[in-house]
Amino acid sequence: MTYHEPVLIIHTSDWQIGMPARTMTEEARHRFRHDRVDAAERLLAEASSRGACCVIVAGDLFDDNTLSEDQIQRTLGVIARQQLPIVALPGNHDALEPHAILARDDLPDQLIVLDSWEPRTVVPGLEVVGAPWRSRIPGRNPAWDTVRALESYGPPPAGTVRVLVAHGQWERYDSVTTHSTLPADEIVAALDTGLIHYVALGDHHSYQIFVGGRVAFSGTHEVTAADERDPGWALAVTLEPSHPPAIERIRVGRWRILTLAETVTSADDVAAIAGRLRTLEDPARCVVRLHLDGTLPLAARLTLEQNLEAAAAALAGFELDVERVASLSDASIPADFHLRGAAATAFERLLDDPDPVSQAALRLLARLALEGNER
Amino acid sequence: MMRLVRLRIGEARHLRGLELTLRSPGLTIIHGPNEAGKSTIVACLRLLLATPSTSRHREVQALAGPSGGVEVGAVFALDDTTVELTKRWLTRPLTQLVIAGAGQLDGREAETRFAELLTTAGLGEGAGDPLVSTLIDNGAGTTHLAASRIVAEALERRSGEEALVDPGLLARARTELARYETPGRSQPTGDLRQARDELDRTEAAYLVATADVNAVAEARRDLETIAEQLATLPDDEARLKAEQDERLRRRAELEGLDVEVERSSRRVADLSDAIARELEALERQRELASALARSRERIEQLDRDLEERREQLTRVQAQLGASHDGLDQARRELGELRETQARAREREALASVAAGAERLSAQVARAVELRNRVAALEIAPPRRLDDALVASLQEAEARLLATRTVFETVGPSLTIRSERSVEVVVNGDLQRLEPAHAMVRPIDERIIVSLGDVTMEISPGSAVSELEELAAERTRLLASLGVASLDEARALLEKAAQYDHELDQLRRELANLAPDGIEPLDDEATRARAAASRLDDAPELAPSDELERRVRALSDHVEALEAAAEEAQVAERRYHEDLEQLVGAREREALQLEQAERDLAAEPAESDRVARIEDLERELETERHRHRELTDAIETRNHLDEELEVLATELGGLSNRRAELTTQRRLLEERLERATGLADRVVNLEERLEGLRRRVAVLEGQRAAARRLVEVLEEEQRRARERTEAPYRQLVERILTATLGERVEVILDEHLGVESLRRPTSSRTALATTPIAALSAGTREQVELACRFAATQLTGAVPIVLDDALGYSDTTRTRMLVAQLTALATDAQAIVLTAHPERYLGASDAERIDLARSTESSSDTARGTSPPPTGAASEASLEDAVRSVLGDAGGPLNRNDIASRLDADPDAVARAIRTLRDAGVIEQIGQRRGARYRLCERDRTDPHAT
Repeated sequence: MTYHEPVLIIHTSDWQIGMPARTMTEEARHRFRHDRVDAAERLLAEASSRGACCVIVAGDLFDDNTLSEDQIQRTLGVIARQQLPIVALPGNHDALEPHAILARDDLPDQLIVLDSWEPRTVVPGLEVVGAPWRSRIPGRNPAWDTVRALESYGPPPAGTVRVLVAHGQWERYDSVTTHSTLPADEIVAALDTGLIHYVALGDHHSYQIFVGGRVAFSGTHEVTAADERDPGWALAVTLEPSHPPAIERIRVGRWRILTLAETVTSADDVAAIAGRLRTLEDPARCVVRLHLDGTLPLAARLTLEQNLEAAAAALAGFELDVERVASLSDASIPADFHLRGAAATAFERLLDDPDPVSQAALRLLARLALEGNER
Repeated sequence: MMRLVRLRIGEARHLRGLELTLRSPGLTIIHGPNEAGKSTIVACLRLLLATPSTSRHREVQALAGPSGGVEVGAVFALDDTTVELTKRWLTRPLTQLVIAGAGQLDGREAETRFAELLTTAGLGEGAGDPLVSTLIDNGAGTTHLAASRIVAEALERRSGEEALVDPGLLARARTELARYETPGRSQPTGDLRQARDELDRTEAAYLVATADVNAVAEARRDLETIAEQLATLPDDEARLKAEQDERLRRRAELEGLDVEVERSSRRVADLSDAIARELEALERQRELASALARSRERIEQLDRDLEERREQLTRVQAQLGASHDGLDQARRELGELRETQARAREREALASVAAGAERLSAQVARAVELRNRVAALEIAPPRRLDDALVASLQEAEARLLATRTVFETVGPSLTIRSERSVEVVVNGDLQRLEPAHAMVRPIDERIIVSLGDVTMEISPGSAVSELEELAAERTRLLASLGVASLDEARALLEKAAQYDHELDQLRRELANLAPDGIEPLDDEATRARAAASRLDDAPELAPSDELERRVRALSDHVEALEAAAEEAQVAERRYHEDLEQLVGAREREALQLEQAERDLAAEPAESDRVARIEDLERELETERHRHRELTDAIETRNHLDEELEVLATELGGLSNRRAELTTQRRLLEERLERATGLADRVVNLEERLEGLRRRVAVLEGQRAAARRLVEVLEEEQRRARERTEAPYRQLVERILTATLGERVEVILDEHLGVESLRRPTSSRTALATTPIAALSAGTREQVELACRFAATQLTGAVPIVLDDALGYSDTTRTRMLVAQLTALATDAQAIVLTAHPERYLGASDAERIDLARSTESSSDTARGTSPPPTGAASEASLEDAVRSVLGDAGGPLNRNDIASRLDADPDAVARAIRTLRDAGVIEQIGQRRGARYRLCERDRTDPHAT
């Protein structure tokens, strides 16, 4: 098959197979890790169905080079079942250090590891040049060497598109260049001079494009952290030497890590939030971080955590921050709990003490009083 | 509030149909002898209030009356409601409650309603035995009060609605805390401990795992380094080999040099030796010539020195001769001068002798004069008086004079007059008579007159005769002395003294002048004059300073000349010696000169020798240059050998390094192979740690909350208790202070029991604390009563019932307590049961009920309707008696002892003992014949309780 027509590639990155999931329940953690491989499989199937010529994983296919053998084999098995080539760039998590997974002898034939900066023809009409990481913390980003080497190779043959695959950060933070920083200016120059046509980047877990879509971060195929912006996608990129790339996003991920901030002023507000937690879609693949503020009547405040945690029982993970929720004091409140005399005084003392320990003691007192009343 | 209006005992023990009306408020004193039924009344009252009629408890059975049952009824005023409660036990149980104006209830309904009414009256829920709080009988302990909730609840009501924390709530809070930590020790427990332990274990495992991760990363870096090092090894080997070949080639070119170098070295040494020898000979030859010249110069110098020395010797010898001449002249002059000086001194001595002869002649003349004067005096010595007689005369004269001076007139009266101050003692009175004044005294007075040293006792009547006696005495003394007057006697005495003095002086002077007599002195003067006669023949020469000076100057000159002559002789000897030495030296030098001249003549010419040395030096330079070239070549060869050795070592090192690196690489690769799965383990541990940390944090938070809650509740509890018990404590203190007659402070325990008292010490400056157990029985009883009084006054809820109280108190304190009770009964209801009504005489307003009479009348009343008391009643009395005996005994007694003390039938006592033992009132110690009995624990502490 000769490709003089536009070339379709699938650009993905940061599968991070085997990554930890600290804020989840034990059962959810296991599922989360399992689902990362499933998501990769779905992605590869989608690529085949779209007729892509290859899938490019721009670094961090694996989260670590010392994963357990069953995780490695399960992932390699998914790859081995595919027909199309899968080009993998060693990133900082799976760098080509001695005994790296991507340096194994038993890798599937479909898996092409970009282990040098020499241009490599994946299929006719498509050259890929990589900037492989050889250690977790190199002196500088390997892309510097690759871009410099590109000048000696010159432009690709006519009718061939060349893709640079790199891993690192495009933007410098606080003007500081670290071992992760990519040579953005040099890459743009290479794009402008026709040495390369598209830059497939990894390391940034959110989708992001630069230079008119000629440079792109695909983002992770399945969410890894709460601060990621719109994760869970792969990019279908159509390339032609004389045209800018056309990028289409493909939904892959199923997991969500939601960070919610709400203000509560009544027991009804709490009930509404609890209702939302109960009706979240696919709660077994959803982690929620809920930050609350506002003021509640004491009775509602005392049962706040209990109510919300009960509502979040089906979620894969739930973190609740109620430090900023104040309780509304009421002179008749001790009587509501049938507390009198010294116990009522103790109740009021705790009520007036903003110390979190005292507030927790207050909730405990209320609970014990209610239990006593029930008896 | 509850008041007992009327009590009716239908049947209980031996009481039947007893009805008592009680004052309310006010004090009712029910008195009667022992076994009159006082304790039975109290027991019935408690039974009515606290025991359901269906009960067959042993306490109920113990009260069974003659018919086998118990029946008690009472009319109570509960706030504004009057109710009558009647109960019957054992036979046909009955509970009946009649509420005034509201009908009658029976059975359980009546019990429930009565309990509700009690609660409404403020007696507290569950206060089934309200009398417990105020009932006191002989010997009761404070625990009764402490255990009663009615007082505590009443106090709480006073200080606020349920001031104390609900014990259930506090217990639940403590239980909650105990879920997280051990009580008191604050050690984690339960889930928290498990979670912490698990966290510790997981953290340790995680540390190990992360250490493994770091080790793996390090292994990877090491592997990269090893790979780089192995890659450079072949290049290094090739380079070293090439260098080794190059050096071997150069080394081969430098073989065989050693023999040449040896030969050249020997030649250089030979040439150097030859040159040295020639130079040495040349030097010696030159030194010889030079020495020859110096020797000649020295001989010439020696000749000059010899000449000079000889001239000097001649000059010294001439000087020496002249010196001797001068010396002789000077010595002669000195001799003459010294002779002249000797003659002058001799004349001077003679002149001195002549002067001495004149002085001796004068002394002889004076001695003769003195001797003559002594002889003249000794020939006519003066007249001498008796000193004692003269003294008596003097005294008699003075007394006569004084007496005359004092007594002026003697007649019918005496005038005392004196020119001086006179002290007169008249009839014992001292009077002073000043001069020019007269004192006239009757002549029959006795007068003592003091005039100067004379004191006289005067009788004026005898004054005239006394004067006469004094005059006669003077006359007699003058005659004895042979003088006309006292003055004459005195002159004679003075003259004799002067004579003695003059004679003594003359004799002393003569003895000084011629101690050995005048003749020896005269001989000495004669000899001196003869010696001085030679003066006339002596020349007229006198020693003088000039002569002395000239003799000294000439002596010095002679000494100087002698020293100069001595010095010149020494110089002469030295010049002789020098001259001899110079001659010897001249001869030796001449011999050496000859020898040198002979040696020099044997040497070759100096120019020939110099030319030969120059030839040898040129040849040596050539040989040395050649030798240096050879040694340089050998040094190069040695250096090559060293380099070859280093190269061989390096090559060997490279080989070792290759083996070492290969081994390391293999080990590292093995380690990396083993690292498979490490990330999973770390991830698992991290996730687990995260979860555990959250769990521990949550549990710690819960623990802190529980601890805070318990702390706050306990603190508030403490404060509430302090607030609550203060009025009660103050009231108890006030009552005790009045009773004991001194300031008393009370310390309560947490159950409102009195723990200790604080009372003034003997010094009354401080309070001493005494535990309640250390107080006397009487004081304990008074404390108990004070507590009961205070509780009654504060609560006002129930009557206070005193059964046989004040058994331990003395009269004064009893009176005080009765006064307190009387005051208390103004508002409250008080019921006293006692066998000693006299103790309550102070309670004048009390209602008094004689129980013996009441029982009699009730028995009489009952006699018509009920059967007379049976044996069972008397058995019950006997049981009480047995209990009383055992209570008083203080220790176990056997059956006979009890019977003997009661003076009762032993069989009846045995039955009573069995009944009491079966009812659990007494217990048996020992078996059969040795069996002894004592009250059970409860009854021991409260032997009169019913």
